[in-house]
Amino acid sequence: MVHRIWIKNLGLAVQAADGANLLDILRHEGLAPEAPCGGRGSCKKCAVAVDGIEQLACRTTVKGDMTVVLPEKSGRASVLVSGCGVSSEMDPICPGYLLAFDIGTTTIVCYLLDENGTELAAAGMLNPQAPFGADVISRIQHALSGTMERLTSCIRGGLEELTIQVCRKAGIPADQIGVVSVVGNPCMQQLFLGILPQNLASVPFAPVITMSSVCPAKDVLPLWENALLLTVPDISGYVGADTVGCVLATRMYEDERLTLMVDIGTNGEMVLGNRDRMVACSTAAGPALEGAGIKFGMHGAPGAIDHVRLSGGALHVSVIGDEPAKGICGSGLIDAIAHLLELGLVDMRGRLAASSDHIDGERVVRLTDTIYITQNDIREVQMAKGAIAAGITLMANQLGTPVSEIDRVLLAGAFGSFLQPESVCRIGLLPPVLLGKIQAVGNAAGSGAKLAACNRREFARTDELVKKIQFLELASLPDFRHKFAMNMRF
Amino acid sequence: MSNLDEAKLLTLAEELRREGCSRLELVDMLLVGMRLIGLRYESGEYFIADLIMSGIIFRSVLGLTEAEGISVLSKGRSALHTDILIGTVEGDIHDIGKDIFSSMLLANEMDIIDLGVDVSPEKFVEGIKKYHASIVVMEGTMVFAAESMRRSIQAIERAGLRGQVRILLGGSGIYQEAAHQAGADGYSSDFVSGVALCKRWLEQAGDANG
Repeated sequence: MVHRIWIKNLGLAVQAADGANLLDILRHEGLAPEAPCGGRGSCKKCAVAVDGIEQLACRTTVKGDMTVVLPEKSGRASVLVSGCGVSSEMDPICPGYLLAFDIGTTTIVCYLLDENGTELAAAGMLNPQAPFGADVISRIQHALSGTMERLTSCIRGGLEELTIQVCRKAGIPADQIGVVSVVGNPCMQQLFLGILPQNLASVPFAPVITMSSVCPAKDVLPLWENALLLTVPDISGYVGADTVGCVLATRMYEDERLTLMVDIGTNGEMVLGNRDRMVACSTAAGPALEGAGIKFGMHGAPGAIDHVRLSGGALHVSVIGDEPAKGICGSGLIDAIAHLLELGLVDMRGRLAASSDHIDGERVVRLTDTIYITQNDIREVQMAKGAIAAGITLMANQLGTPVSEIDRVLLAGAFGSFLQPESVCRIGLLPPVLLGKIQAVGNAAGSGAKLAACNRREFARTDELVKKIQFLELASLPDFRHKFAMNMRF
Repeated sequence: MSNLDEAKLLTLAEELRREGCSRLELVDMLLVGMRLIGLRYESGEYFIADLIMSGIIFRSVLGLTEAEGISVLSKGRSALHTDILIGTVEGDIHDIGKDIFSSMLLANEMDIIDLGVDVSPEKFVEGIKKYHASIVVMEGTMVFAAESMRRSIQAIERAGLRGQVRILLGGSGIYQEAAHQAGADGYSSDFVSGVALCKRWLEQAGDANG
């Protein structure tokens, strides 16, 4: 039996089989709201109105005709496109315009360069796979349960849309693009290339793309009909070509200073080292810092509280886009917790003071009339920062050097550009001893992709880097849990 | 113990041992602290970090190590009979959740055999035969865990042991529906309810045995 679903606010009707899951139907039509938990019913973020009653799309079974109202799209996230400004002499693998992509779990960024390496246009978008979950694990789960092709066409569709956008902005036809260079985390790269991420689902999480490769780009996307596609290799199953791009662009591999590069995206990847030796690790730290699992969590989009100040003993918020606060993004959350620690309202174990307000039986701190931080939000941040800080300590151990000997910290990625170093060190996401050495470097992964497009030797260098960087599997280190537990405290 | 002061505890334990305190008495004392920690965790005062620390301290005071991937966390009633067999399933190496859960079960006076991580379906089967466990707890953090759990449960069925054990699934790699589909008896998304469920099952098993 087939039912009709009338999507009222879009003026659109779709058909669904009896017993179908509403979120699946909406995903199929490309209309689904974001579902950070991947459709398990735990994140409560895919709410839609069904026949006037608000309910979760992922928990709704189609049993008859229904009228659905989708939530208003929550403004486009501000996607960081500015790179870290390194340049290279031009020696591309093929003549023509150059395209460089960084495929993140949450966002995709695209740059169009001319034959001199000058940026003509840049564009970014939220990863269209968002309805399949906020993190790579949910995406892998969906891919392995038979929706691989949908995830692949979804991501290719995103890259196609961005290509059209930048070409239109620059006024050039897409068939004059000669090189397309792509970095991303291993999961995104594999989904983009159509390689089933089976390897990422169980130990030893071995990477599949272990060497750089070149192929006709039109095999992946017909729009790139005259280009070569450059694929940058991965370091491990969870430290990918995007991290290689960061190392390439920051030039940390040829610097004598001991550099800590931290790319906090949906996952947190880190590299510590200098020209002699480098180690890398990854932590599943990001989703909380990007708003997943946080009561009023959201991306850094208009309406998000991005910073919190403390003055006169009270918290004051600033909101992106000067509009009423709709939620809070990672940087705001970190600021707020740093100040709550200063005020003594959160103890070293992360417990909110008994004198806090209570909502639904949970201790909370109000930031505005409608937006508050819950005890559970603080717990989520503790786990994220505990993993990152533990990773830093263990990488330093591996190199046999104390954390205080680190000469500089480079924060890559959109999130890194929003953060206040004082707050980051106050909550212990980064070791306090490194305050004063922290510098944001923008979308370094994207800059790495550009370098690989501009110069064939830079592209070849990615193979050397992958060989040189030693991967550290944190979960297998006997000391990890101790460091993780210690670093969860404030 | 309940204040999680590792250095102080180690010194104290050493003194007690010199004074002729038996290992069993020491375990009893530590368990009092572990129970308090469990209660503080339930009330929200303590956090996972504190549970992890309590497990580390417990092991270090007793000088326990994970020998050959199997550690016996028990008061030593009998080497060949245990209440609960626990392990992180094949393909997964995350042990933090498993170890916290083990500590909490122990604090609630249940005997445990810990099979370690990346435990194959065959090892679960062997473990049940060898230790006559009445509950099997399978943990998994990774995406692949649900499938691995299903295979382990099938292996237990094929070995004709399914009727002897109750199977509890936990960890962030699994959720209610998947646990049901995998053929488990129970699923738990948090430590506290998981411990309560194990307790109830053991009581039921005890009643049935007379």
